[in-house]
Amino acid sequence: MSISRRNFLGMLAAAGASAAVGKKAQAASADFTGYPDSYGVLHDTTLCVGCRSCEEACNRVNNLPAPEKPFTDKTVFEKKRRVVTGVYTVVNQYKEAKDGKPPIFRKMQCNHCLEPACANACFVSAFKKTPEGPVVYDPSVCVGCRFCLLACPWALPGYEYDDPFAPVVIRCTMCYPRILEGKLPGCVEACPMEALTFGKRDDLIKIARERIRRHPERYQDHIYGEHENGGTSWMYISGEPFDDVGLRTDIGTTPPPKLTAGALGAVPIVVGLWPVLLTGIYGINKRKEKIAAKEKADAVAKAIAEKQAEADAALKAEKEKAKKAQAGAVEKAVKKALADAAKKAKEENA
Amino acid sequence: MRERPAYHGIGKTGRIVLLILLAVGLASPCFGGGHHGDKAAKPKRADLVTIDGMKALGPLERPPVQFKHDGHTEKLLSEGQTCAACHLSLPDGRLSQKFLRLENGSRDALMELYHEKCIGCHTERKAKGLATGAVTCGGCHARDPEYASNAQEVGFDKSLHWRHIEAVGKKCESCHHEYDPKAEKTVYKKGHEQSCRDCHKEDTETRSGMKTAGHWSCIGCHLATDGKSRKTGPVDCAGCHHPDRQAAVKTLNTVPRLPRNQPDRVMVAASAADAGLARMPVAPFNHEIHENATDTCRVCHHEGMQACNQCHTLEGHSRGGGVKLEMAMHDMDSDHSCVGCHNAKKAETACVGCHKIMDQSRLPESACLRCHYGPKPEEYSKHRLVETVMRDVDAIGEDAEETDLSHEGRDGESTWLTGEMLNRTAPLSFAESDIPETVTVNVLESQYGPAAFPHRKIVYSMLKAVRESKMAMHFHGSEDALCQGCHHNSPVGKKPPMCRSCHGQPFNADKIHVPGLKGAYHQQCMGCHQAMKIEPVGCTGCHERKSNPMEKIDRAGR
Repeated sequence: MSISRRNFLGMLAAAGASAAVGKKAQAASADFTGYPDSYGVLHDTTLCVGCRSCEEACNRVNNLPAPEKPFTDKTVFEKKRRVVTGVYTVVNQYKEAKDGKPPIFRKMQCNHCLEPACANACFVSAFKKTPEGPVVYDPSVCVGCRFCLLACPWALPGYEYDDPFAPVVIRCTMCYPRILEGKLPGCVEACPMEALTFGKRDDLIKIARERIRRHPERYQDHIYGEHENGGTSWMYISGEPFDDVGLRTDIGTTPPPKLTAGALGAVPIVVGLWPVLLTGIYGINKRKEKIAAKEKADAVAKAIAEKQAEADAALKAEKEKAKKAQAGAVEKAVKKALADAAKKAKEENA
Repeated sequence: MRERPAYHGIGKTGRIVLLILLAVGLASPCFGGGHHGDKAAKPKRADLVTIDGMKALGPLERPPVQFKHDGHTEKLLSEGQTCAACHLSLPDGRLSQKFLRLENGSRDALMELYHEKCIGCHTERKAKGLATGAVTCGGCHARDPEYASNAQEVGFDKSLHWRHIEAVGKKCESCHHEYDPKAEKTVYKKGHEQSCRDCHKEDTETRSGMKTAGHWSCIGCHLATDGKSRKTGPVDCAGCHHPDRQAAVKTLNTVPRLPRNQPDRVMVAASAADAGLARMPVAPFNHEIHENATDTCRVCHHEGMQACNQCHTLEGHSRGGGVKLEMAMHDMDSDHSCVGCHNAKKAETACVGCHKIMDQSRLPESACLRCHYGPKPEEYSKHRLVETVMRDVDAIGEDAEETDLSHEGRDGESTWLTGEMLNRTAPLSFAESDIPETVTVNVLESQYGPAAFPHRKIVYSMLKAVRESKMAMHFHGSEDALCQGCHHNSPVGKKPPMCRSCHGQPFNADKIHVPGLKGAYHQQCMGCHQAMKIEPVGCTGCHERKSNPMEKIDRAGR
């Protein structure tokens, strides 16, 4: 991507403007509650039975390589898994069946934040929040810095560390292409329990609230992702405390861009204005020096000119004098010559 | 000359050492987790008495003392000493519960007493070469006490109560009494017994609190009973308060009803004071059955044994903490209320399968008349429908006739109430042929084959479970209650609407709270199987897998 001089100056001006109205810009960010009518998924962990149909469907619709162990293998629950090469989503078991209570599972994938930290951290803009809800990733511009992995508060994106040549970030796409085609995300379509509910994010919140209202004995009174990290498109309701199902509760509700807006708002000032200011000061100083030098030179020239004029005048006077003298001498000589000639003539005549 | 900072004199090496020490010092809280671990792993005792009575007289200078009561009594009793070694006798012969004093006195006197007597005894025993305790300040006043307490509260359940009734020869006056302000003494009133806690709340000048009264009465009686002529109870702390010892207390399988002339069946209605305000038909209540189903009277009655409506009026009264009669009976979260207790029953394995899918936040209006099926409130006073069979305390537990309840009311009038209540059964008027034997679920067939649902078997097993419980029979008195566990949100009938009449494509924006058909089947079937611990809960238990869809995937890679 090339930046024309006009664009660059425009960006600089915009940065300067946003720095000037920094407070207002931040307030606007806090008010952003997602694109209207965007889609999301509500994961009701009380309904998840750990069948891994979602993993199987994800693999199928994304045409991912075959797994080492088949999707019917329940031994994978022995340890906590995360996304790796060829795996966009995993189901983990957080509690074993105990005292007649069923085991607790949770599906894990990108949460598709309303204001994603990964997109905020990415300096090549490989991530984009779509108005439909999914956060999409463009591997063609990715430089592999992995700031997105660090930026995600849940450390959800994975990375193809096993690919030495062209590794890319691994993450759920929320089946963006399928959503555009009017289809359900693969995992949602496959879930036999409807533990994953797909719909407009606003509707999902209504559904979650209604379930919690009807079954206060079953759910924690909280919709995880409604506000966490500024809100996410994937949300969760759970019977267990969210920390116990691997969803940290210390994230807060501030959207990540807001966390850096203050510091980044200062960037135009530092990067944009300081050089201008310093260059200005430099220029003014330079100009001062230049003027001083010129004045000095002028003075010198003037002095020289005066002296020259004086000298010229003196010279002229001398020359006049000399000329007069010369002229006098000539006249004299002429007179003398004439006198001599006259005398000579008189003598000759005589 | 300005003074140099202290570290200036220690040289470069010294400063580096200081820095390292500082760093270690800062980092050490990270390694300090072990201390917390120790705290959790502290040994537990049920006999710990915290000696901190002085804190009422001013701030404590040292941490309170953790005193092992059973440790001291065991040792002293084994050496032939008595409680008198530490406890003085009150004028009425009871032992003071204070240590070697009758009254607290001043702060200094109290401190002096403990220091002199405790350290004195410990020093004396040390000189004699006997096992002894600490004699230094920190030995007793430990900032981090050695033990954690696992003492639990003690209470009489029905079984323990009955064992005590038998032990005192059915003489209720052995324990029960009440204060007669005219006679200025405690007297026993037959048939008027309350729970101890009704009067013994906090320690006052004229009345002992529950803890003090309990220790005097229980330990006093246990001490006075030698255990030879009749059984006696523990006198050590752990005997009553240790969880293991509590669990080891003998429990009677069948406990006779307590002889207090409580009603067998009663109408739960607003009190006479609320006459004219009540609108709901009254709720006939089988007191006897509920006595059998609960551990103590306090479960429903709080401390006092009054009728509910004496404190809980229709509009709320300070006597009942402002809790209205409606709330007292219907609070979904209370242990004392009808609905709260019945809700807890719904979580039992036999019930939870159907009940877990229902709205747990409120009862449907159709539930009101399950309890309120008595006469209208304005007719209630005419009926005076309280039935009590007057029982003689001496006959309790021995007279088998006692359980054969008369259908006569207290006033001798015959009532329909008993018949109505006892004749409730769980009928199923549908003929067997009207109940489909098997329902084959195959409308969604794709990866899995059809599921054969043993419909009739399930109906009859539900019916059997209901008929095993009197409570369940009362509340499932018709087909609608039984069938609508699954066939919800539609009227009851021999041919209810099919599941797919309402449940179709998932995530319908117009019916956001209605699951799709696949979700509805799996949530209903698996939810019930899981909750009721019924096999199978896996996929192939209900329907066979046709093929592995993974095999169809193109293995070409991404």
